[in-house]
Amino acid sequence: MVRNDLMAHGAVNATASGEAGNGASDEALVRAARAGDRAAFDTLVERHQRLVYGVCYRLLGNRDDAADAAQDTFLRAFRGLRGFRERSSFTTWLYRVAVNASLNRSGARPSRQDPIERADQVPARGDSPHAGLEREERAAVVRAAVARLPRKQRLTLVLRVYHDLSHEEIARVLGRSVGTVKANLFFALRNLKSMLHPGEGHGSTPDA
Amino acid sequence: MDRHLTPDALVALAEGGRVEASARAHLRTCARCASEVASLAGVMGELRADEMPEPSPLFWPQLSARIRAAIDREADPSVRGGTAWPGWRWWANAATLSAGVLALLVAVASGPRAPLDLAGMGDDSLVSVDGEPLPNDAWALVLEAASGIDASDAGDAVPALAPASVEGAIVDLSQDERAELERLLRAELQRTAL
Repeated sequence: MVRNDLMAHGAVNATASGEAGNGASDEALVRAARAGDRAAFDTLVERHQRLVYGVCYRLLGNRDDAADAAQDTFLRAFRGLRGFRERSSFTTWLYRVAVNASLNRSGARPSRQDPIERADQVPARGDSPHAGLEREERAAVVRAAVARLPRKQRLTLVLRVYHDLSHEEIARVLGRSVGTVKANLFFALRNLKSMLHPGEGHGSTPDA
Repeated sequence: MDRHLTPDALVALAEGGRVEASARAHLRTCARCASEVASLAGVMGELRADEMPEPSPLFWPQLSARIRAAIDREADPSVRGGTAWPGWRWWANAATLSAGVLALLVAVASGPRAPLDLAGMGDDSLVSVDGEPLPNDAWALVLEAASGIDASDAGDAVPALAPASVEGAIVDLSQDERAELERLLRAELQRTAL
């Protein structure tokens, strides 16, 4: 998951060195960037680009659009920095900007998924060619099903499953109630079950 | 517990989260709910097995360099596409924005509509495209006036208004410019008696 990856990598692959420093908190970097320290903003980009790209990739389904949307996200963040009042964390705000940037981009053109294998992707460690292809084929089916979900369900599912955000964090990112987030997650999973395993039925169907 | 589990409880159980003891007790005796939890957990497992393809190691420095270059262009007013909108450029953008908003308002003035999802999220509060609170009355006025507008109507009403131009205007206008836009919008709203 992207957020876990971010933590594991320590989020410090930065080359820029703002006055706030690479080890500075997001809040300190935001304040420095707002005061005109471009290197501080560059550090924020380095620190969060995986997270932003990950959201965009999951919502758009292909690398090129995801990279474009990630760029849009940071441009919007740069423009909007002076209006960011820190009522939420920078990360929560950035998630929200990334979601909006992806939605704007997905509305501007038909969605397209990356082909099953791209030469510039790194294969999973230990995969035989056959197993790797099978895994990728199944992944493509799952991603296509996710892409067919209604927008609110898809957003909720992506933030929960692939970014490991809590229901409360998702509610803050999407501007929804926690109850709505839980309901959207439930229906997203049920709809996916119908798409991925069409013969199995719904079983128990609580009122919805 | 006689009733079947709620969606909240089903999802919580599928995720291995905490639920009330009564829910767990029900699960032990209800095959339907147990089956539902198992199938939701199965879907969750399939999703989590799909890791994002890792780009090549060169991808990340390239992406950050590309973002940095875009922001350099944005930050330098002498470069086309920068944030500074001197003189005629501001008026051209403000005129485009206000004309677009007004065309949109006029075009969809009649009949009840679903709320326009201006922030892309369907949030009822007054927020900018990036989710931050709006800075002054001009934008509150725009959103308030547009709150009953359907998104598809908006697209029909102002097909030539690119999202980026509105977005740029929202982010980049100064306080004086916003005040002037607010004055123009109020005057036009009064004139058209919407």
